Amino acid sequence: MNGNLKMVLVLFCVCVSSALSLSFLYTYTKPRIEKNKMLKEQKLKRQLIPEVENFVAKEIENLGTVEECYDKSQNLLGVLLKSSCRGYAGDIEYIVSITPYIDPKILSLKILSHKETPGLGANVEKEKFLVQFRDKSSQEIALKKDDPLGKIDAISGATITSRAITNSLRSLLEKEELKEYLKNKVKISYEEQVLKQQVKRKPKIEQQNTQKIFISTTTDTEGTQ
Amino acid sequence: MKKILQIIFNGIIKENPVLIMMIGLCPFLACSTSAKDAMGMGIAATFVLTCSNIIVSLFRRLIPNEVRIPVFIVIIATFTTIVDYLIKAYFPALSESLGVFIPLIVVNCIILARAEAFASKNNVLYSFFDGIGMGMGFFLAIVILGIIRQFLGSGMIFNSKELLKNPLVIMILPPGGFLAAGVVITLIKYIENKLKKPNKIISNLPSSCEGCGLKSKCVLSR
Repeated sequence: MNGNLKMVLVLFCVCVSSALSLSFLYTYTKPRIEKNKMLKEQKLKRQLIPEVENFVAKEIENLGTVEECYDKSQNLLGVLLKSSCRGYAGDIEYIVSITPYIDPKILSLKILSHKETPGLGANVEKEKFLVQFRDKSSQEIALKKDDPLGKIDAISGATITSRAITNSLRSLLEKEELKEYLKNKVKISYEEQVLKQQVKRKPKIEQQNTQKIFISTTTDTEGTQ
Repeated sequence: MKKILQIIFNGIIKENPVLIMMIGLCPFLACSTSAKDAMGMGIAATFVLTCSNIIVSLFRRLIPNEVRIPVFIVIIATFTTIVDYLIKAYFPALSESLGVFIPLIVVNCIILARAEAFASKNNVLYSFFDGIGMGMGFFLAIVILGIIRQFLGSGMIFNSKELLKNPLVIMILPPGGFLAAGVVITLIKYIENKLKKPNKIISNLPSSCEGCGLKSKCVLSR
């Protein structure tokens, strides 16, 4: 066989068999890989808001898909937002759950995917970093070294990654569309909600006081309780 | 049988790809920031190396000499992609931590070097064990470095809690990789030298002072 022809034939055969075996394997593993991605998202969502029973997804312009989380008694527990930012080595996707009030605070933050360096930037997905965001409002979401009001410690050796997530999260919370949505969804702010709960409790305390007074007058021997 | 053991011993000790032959240093330095990642990379690279050795050896008489490098690379890349899909599908946690370094196995010098130097010139059985041996040598080297760097750089051994109060963070950064690797390779060279000349006393003294150029000046000639 002509030398040149043999070379072309061998290369052709090798490449075709490689492409065939890879496409076969891809088709075979694709459902599993998709399922893994789904499972990971599901697991993360349950970790973000523990008592959730069902999610209601809403499409909002510029915010993407917002998921409202209701518990058994149809109380709105929180709202899930998904976003991404440019990290050190690629995009970082994250999901954040926020309290459903007009001045939202972060309930929980989880990283969905990233391409950061293992051992350094990749540590943003560890709880040690993410737990800092709990219960913070948007003014507090900044790196301590960037902003005196900020309450977030960057990961040593991974400032770029830490800063990227922190700033992206803050701008997400400050988006006009989010404020509009929350205004329409929940008409009261966090302080009013707390006051409401206190008012509910008051009558019970008054009831107890009247009972105490009643007891002390009948027994007469007991002093003040 | 003896030849097989010889091949494996060769791969792990005598011609360890990373520590003696000094190839495959890229993933060796890059994936040794933690012991667990090092293990994952070691196993993945061994798998690709062994499979590619088998295929190259199987078709060694059919591959024309002029196109052998492109053919080897396509074969290696195919197996690397297979490993990538399998890990993504069946070990998603490992895929998360190793991430981009799995596809980089394609450019691991060890695999191309063994395909060229051994698998294209030997039968399938020996090539298989060469792959296993070299792979185990790589695995050992990268895991040892991973343990050292992780312990010094973050105070942890595998998944333990932090044992050092102020770990040397530089050890898990790129310069630390070079520093640690340098120390380890120096140690290996030292041991190598010690093994080659065990207490060799220079005993080449002449029996008489005849023929020695310093005869007139030397103390011993008197």
